[in-house]
Amino acid sequence: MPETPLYPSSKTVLIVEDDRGVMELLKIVLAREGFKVTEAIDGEEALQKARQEPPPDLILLDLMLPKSGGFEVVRELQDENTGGIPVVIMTGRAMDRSTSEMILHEANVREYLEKPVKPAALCALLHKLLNTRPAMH
Amino acid sequence: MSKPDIIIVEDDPLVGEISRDILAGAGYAVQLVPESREAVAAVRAGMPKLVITDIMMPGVTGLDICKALKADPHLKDIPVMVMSAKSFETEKRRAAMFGAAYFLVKPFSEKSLLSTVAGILGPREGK
Repeated sequence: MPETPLYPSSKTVLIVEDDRGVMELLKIVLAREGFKVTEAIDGEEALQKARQEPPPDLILLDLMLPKSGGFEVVRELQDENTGGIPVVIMTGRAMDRSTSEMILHEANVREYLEKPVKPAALCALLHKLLNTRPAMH
Repeated sequence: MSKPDIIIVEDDPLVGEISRDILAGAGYAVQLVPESREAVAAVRAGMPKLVITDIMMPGVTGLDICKALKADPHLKDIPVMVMSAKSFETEKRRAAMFGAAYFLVKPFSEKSLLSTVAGILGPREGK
Protein backbone atom coordinates (compact mmCIF):
# COMPACT_ATOMS: atom_id res chain seq x y z
CA MET A 1 0.00 0.00 0.00
CA PRO A 2 1.46 3.38 -0.92
CA GLU A 3 1.54 5.92 1.89
CA THR A 4 -1.12 8.62 1.94
CA PRO A 5 0.30 11.77 0.31
CA LEU A 6 1.27 14.53 2.72
CA TYR A 7 0.74 18.25 2.56
CA PRO A 8 3.76 20.13 1.18
CA SER A 9 3.64 22.42 4.23
CA SER A 10 4.90 19.48 6.30
CA LYS A 11 8.14 19.36 4.28
CA THR A 12 11.13 21.68 4.31
CA VAL A 13 13.31 22.06 1.24
CA LEU A 14 16.82 23.51 1.59
CA ILE A 15 17.75 25.44 -1.57
CA VAL A 16 21.50 25.80 -2.11
CA GLU A 17 22.15 28.36 -4.83
CA ASP A 18 24.67 31.20 -5.10
CA ASP A 19 22.82 33.15 -7.82
CA ARG A 20 20.51 35.45 -5.89
CA GLY A 21 18.13 35.85 -8.83
CA VAL A 22 17.67 32.12 -9.28
CA MET A 23 17.37 31.68 -5.51
CA GLU A 24 14.55 34.23 -5.24
CA LEU A 25 12.64 32.60 -8.08
CA LEU A 26 13.07 29.10 -6.69
CA LYS A 27 11.84 30.33 -3.32
CA ILE A 28 8.73 31.81 -4.95
CA VAL A 29 8.07 28.59 -6.91
CA LEU A 30 8.42 26.32 -3.87
CA ALA A 31 6.56 28.60 -1.48
CA ARG A 32 3.65 28.90 -3.92
CA GLU A 33 3.58 25.14 -4.14
CA GLY A 34 3.21 25.02 -0.38
CA PHE A 35 6.65 23.80 0.72
CA LYS A 36 8.58 25.30 3.60
CA VAL A 37 11.82 26.72 2.30
CA THR A 38 15.20 27.40 3.81
CA GLU A 39 18.22 28.68 1.92
CA ALA A 40 22.00 28.57 1.72
CA ILE A 41 24.25 30.51 -0.62
CA ASP A 42 27.32 28.27 -0.47
CA GLY A 43 28.44 24.80 0.54
CA GLU A 44 29.49 25.78 4.02
CA GLU A 45 26.11 27.28 4.87
CA ALA A 46 24.41 24.30 3.21
CA LEU A 47 26.19 21.82 5.47
CA GLN A 48 25.44 23.92 8.52
CA LYS A 49 21.71 24.10 7.68
CA ALA A 50 21.55 20.41 6.76
CA ARG A 51 22.96 19.54 10.20
CA GLN A 52 20.48 21.69 12.10
CA GLU A 53 17.55 20.18 13.96
CA PRO A 54 15.12 19.50 12.46
CA PRO A 55 17.02 18.77 9.25
CA PRO A 56 15.52 19.61 5.85
CA ASP A 57 13.49 16.89 4.14
CA LEU A 58 15.20 17.47 0.80
CA ILE A 59 18.14 19.49 -0.52
CA LEU A 60 17.98 21.23 -3.90
CA LEU A 61 21.62 21.81 -4.72
CA ASP A 62 23.27 23.85 -7.45
CA LEU A 63 26.32 21.93 -8.64
CA MET A 64 28.34 25.07 -9.38
CA LEU A 65 28.95 26.68 -6.01
CA PRO A 66 31.69 29.04 -4.82
CA LYS A 67 34.26 27.78 -2.29
CA SER A 68 33.56 24.06 -2.07
CA GLY A 69 31.72 22.92 -5.20
CA GLY A 70 28.39 21.13 -5.16
CA PHE A 71 30.01 17.74 -5.63
CA GLU A 72 32.04 18.14 -2.45
CA VAL A 73 28.88 19.13 -0.63
CA VAL A 74 27.16 15.95 -1.87
CA ARG A 75 30.02 13.88 -0.45
CA GLU A 76 30.09 15.79 2.86
CA LEU A 77 26.37 15.21 3.26
CA GLN A 78 26.91 11.45 3.15
CA ASP A 79 27.84 11.19 6.82
CA GLU A 80 25.54 9.36 9.21
CA ASN A 81 23.59 12.45 10.29
CA THR A 82 22.69 13.84 6.88
CA GLY A 83 23.17 10.84 4.56
CA GLY A 84 19.45 10.09 4.54
CA ILE A 85 18.43 13.49 3.18
CA PRO A 86 17.60 13.16 -0.53
CA VAL A 87 19.48 15.56 -2.80
CA VAL A 88 18.31 16.93 -6.15
CA ILE A 89 21.10 18.44 -8.21
CA MET A 90 20.67 21.46 -10.47
CA THR A 91 23.25 21.76 -13.21
CA GLY A 92 24.16 24.12 -16.02
CA ARG A 93 22.92 23.27 -19.49
CA ALA A 94 26.01 21.44 -20.60
CA MET A 95 26.72 18.41 -18.48
CA ASP A 96 28.15 15.43 -20.27
CA ARG A 97 26.67 12.00 -19.76
CA SER A 98 29.55 10.59 -17.76
CA THR A 99 29.31 13.44 -15.24
CA SER A 100 25.55 13.03 -14.86
CA GLU A 101 25.91 9.27 -14.43
CA MET A 102 28.65 9.77 -11.87
CA ILE A 103 26.46 12.14 -9.86
CA LEU A 104 23.46 9.81 -9.97
CA HIS A 105 25.66 7.06 -8.54
CA GLU A 106 26.07 9.04 -5.34
CA ALA A 107 23.95 7.37 -2.67
CA ASN A 108 22.12 10.51 -1.56
CA VAL A 109 21.46 11.98 -5.03
CA ARG A 110 17.98 11.13 -6.30
CA GLU A 111 17.78 13.14 -9.49
CA TYR A 112 19.30 15.99 -11.43
CA LEU A 113 17.67 18.87 -13.25
CA GLU A 114 19.27 20.89 -16.00
CA LYS A 115 19.05 24.65 -15.80
CA PRO A 116 17.06 26.60 -16.69
CA VAL A 117 14.80 24.77 -14.28
CA LYS A 118 11.17 24.38 -15.34
CA PRO A 119 8.92 25.12 -12.34
CA ALA A 120 6.30 22.49 -13.19
CA ALA A 121 8.92 19.76 -13.61
CA LEU A 122 10.67 20.76 -10.38
CA CYS A 123 7.44 20.72 -8.37
CA ALA A 124 6.35 17.39 -9.83
CA LEU A 125 9.71 15.88 -8.90
CA LEU A 126 9.60 17.24 -5.35
CA HIS A 127 6.07 15.91 -4.83
CA LYS A 128 7.20 12.51 -6.07
CA LEU A 129 10.30 12.36 -3.87
CA LEU A 130 8.59 13.74 -0.76
CA ASN A 131 5.30 11.90 -1.24
CA THR A 132 3.34 15.14 -1.10
CA ARG A 133 0.44 16.34 -3.17
CA PRO A 134 0.07 19.81 -4.66
CA ALA A 135 -1.59 22.40 -2.44
CA MET A 136 -4.71 24.04 -3.81
CA HIS A 137 -3.98 27.46 -5.27
CA MET B 1 -7.00 32.01 -25.94
CA SER B 2 -8.87 35.27 -25.36
CA LYS B 3 -6.97 38.52 -25.72
CA PRO B 4 -4.21 38.73 -23.13
CA ASP B 5 -3.81 41.72 -20.82
CA ILE B 6 -0.10 41.02 -20.66
CA ILE B 7 2.39 39.30 -22.95
CA ILE B 8 5.60 38.13 -21.27
CA VAL B 9 8.62 37.47 -23.49
CA GLU B 10 11.12 35.38 -21.54
CA ASP B 11 13.25 32.45 -22.65
CA ASP B 12 14.11 31.26 -19.13
CA PRO B 13 11.21 29.03 -18.04
CA LEU B 14 11.91 29.67 -14.35
CA VAL B 15 11.45 33.42 -14.75
CA GLY B 16 8.76 33.22 -17.43
CA GLU B 17 6.50 30.62 -15.88
CA ILE B 18 6.61 32.05 -12.37
CA SER B 19 5.94 35.58 -13.69
CA ARG B 20 2.99 34.24 -15.68
CA ASP B 21 1.64 32.30 -12.69
CA ILE B 22 1.96 35.26 -10.32
CA LEU B 23 0.19 37.65 -12.69
CA ALA B 24 -2.45 35.11 -13.72
CA GLY B 25 -3.08 34.44 -10.02
CA ALA B 26 -3.74 38.16 -9.59
CA GLY B 27 -6.43 38.01 -12.26
CA TYR B 28 -4.63 39.19 -15.40
CA ALA B 29 -4.92 37.25 -18.65
CA VAL B 30 -1.29 36.43 -19.43
CA GLN B 31 0.40 34.92 -22.47
CA LEU B 32 3.97 33.67 -22.14
CA VAL B 33 6.09 33.78 -25.29
CA PRO B 34 9.32 31.83 -24.71
CA GLU B 35 10.64 32.40 -28.25
CA SER B 36 11.66 36.03 -28.61
CA ARG B 37 11.50 35.88 -32.41
CA GLU B 38 7.77 35.20 -32.10
CA ALA B 39 7.18 38.14 -29.75
CA VAL B 40 6.23 40.90 -32.18
CA ALA B 41 3.79 38.64 -34.05
CA ALA B 42 2.26 37.58 -30.73
CA VAL B 43 1.83 41.22 -29.70
CA ARG B 44 0.27 42.05 -33.05
CA ALA B 45 -2.16 39.14 -32.69
CA GLY B 46 -2.93 39.67 -29.00
CA MET B 47 -2.82 43.48 -28.71
CA PRO B 48 -2.11 43.29 -24.95
CA LYS B 49 -2.25 46.24 -22.57
CA LEU B 50 1.35 45.59 -21.49
CA VAL B 51 4.41 43.77 -22.83
CA ILE B 52 6.98 42.52 -20.34
CA THR B 53 10.25 41.41 -21.87
CA ASP B 54 13.61 40.11 -20.78
CA ILE B 55 16.57 41.90 -22.38
CA MET B 56 19.18 39.19 -22.75
CA MET B 57 17.78 36.55 -25.06
CA PRO B 58 19.46 34.66 -27.87
CA GLY B 59 18.65 35.87 -31.38
CA VAL B 60 16.04 38.62 -31.02
CA THR B 61 16.78 40.58 -27.83
CA GLY B 62 14.43 42.63 -25.68
CA LEU B 63 15.87 45.76 -27.27
CA ASP B 64 15.03 44.47 -30.75
CA ILE B 65 11.47 43.89 -29.56
CA CYS B 66 11.20 47.41 -28.09
CA LYS B 67 12.47 48.86 -31.33
CA ALA B 68 10.08 46.82 -33.48
CA LEU B 69 7.05 47.67 -31.34
CA LYS B 70 7.80 51.37 -31.23
CA ALA B 71 8.37 51.47 -34.99
CA ASP B 72 4.93 50.02 -35.69
CA PRO B 73 2.14 52.65 -35.63
CA HIS B 74 -0.40 50.05 -34.42
CA LEU B 75 1.77 48.78 -31.58
CA LYS B 76 3.77 51.82 -30.50
CA ASP B 77 1.35 52.85 -27.74
CA ILE B 78 1.53 49.51 -25.92
CA PRO B 79 3.68 50.08 -22.82
CA VAL B 80 6.79 47.91 -22.57
CA MET B 81 8.36 46.85 -19.30
CA VAL B 82 11.86 45.48 -19.36
CA MET B 83 13.09 42.94 -16.82
CA SER B 84 16.76 43.46 -16.24
CA ALA B 85 19.48 42.38 -13.88
CA LYS B 86 21.18 45.24 -12.04
CA SER B 87 24.40 44.76 -13.92
CA PHE B 88 22.79 45.65 -17.24
CA GLU B 89 22.57 49.41 -16.64
CA THR B 90 23.68 50.13 -20.19
CA GLU B 91 20.97 47.94 -21.65
CA LYS B 92 18.40 49.59 -19.41
CA ARG B 93 19.37 53.02 -20.69
CA ARG B 94 19.25 51.78 -24.25
CA ALA B 95 15.86 50.17 -23.66
CA ALA B 96 14.59 53.54 -22.42
CA MET B 97 15.91 55.12 -25.61
CA PHE B 98 14.03 52.49 -27.59
CA GLY B 99 10.81 53.24 -25.77
CA ALA B 100 10.62 50.90 -22.77
CA ALA B 101 8.73 52.92 -20.18
CA TYR B 102 9.13 50.63 -17.19
CA PHE B 103 11.81 48.52 -15.59
CA LEU B 104 11.78 45.70 -13.16
CA VAL B 105 15.11 44.81 -11.68
CA LYS B 106 15.83 41.09 -11.40
CA PRO B 107 15.71 39.33 -9.04
CA PHE B 108 12.21 40.53 -8.37
CA SER B 109 9.82 39.52 -5.61
CA GLU B 110 6.21 38.52 -6.12
CA LYS B 111 5.21 41.78 -4.46
CA SER B 112 7.40 44.01 -6.65
CA LEU B 113 6.17 42.35 -9.85
CA LEU B 114 2.52 42.73 -8.85
CA SER B 115 2.86 46.30 -7.60
CA THR B 116 4.76 47.41 -10.71
CA VAL B 117 2.18 45.85 -13.04
CA ALA B 118 -0.73 47.15 -10.94
CA GLY B 119 0.83 50.61 -11.17
CA ILE B 120 0.69 50.39 -14.97
CA LEU B 121 -2.58 48.53 -15.54
CA GLY B 122 -4.46 49.02 -12.30
CA PRO B 123 -5.15 46.19 -9.85
CA ARG B 124 -7.36 43.24 -10.68
CA GLU B 125 -9.99 41.90 -8.33
CA GLY B 126 -10.58 38.19 -8.98
CA LYS B 127 -10.62 36.72 -12.48
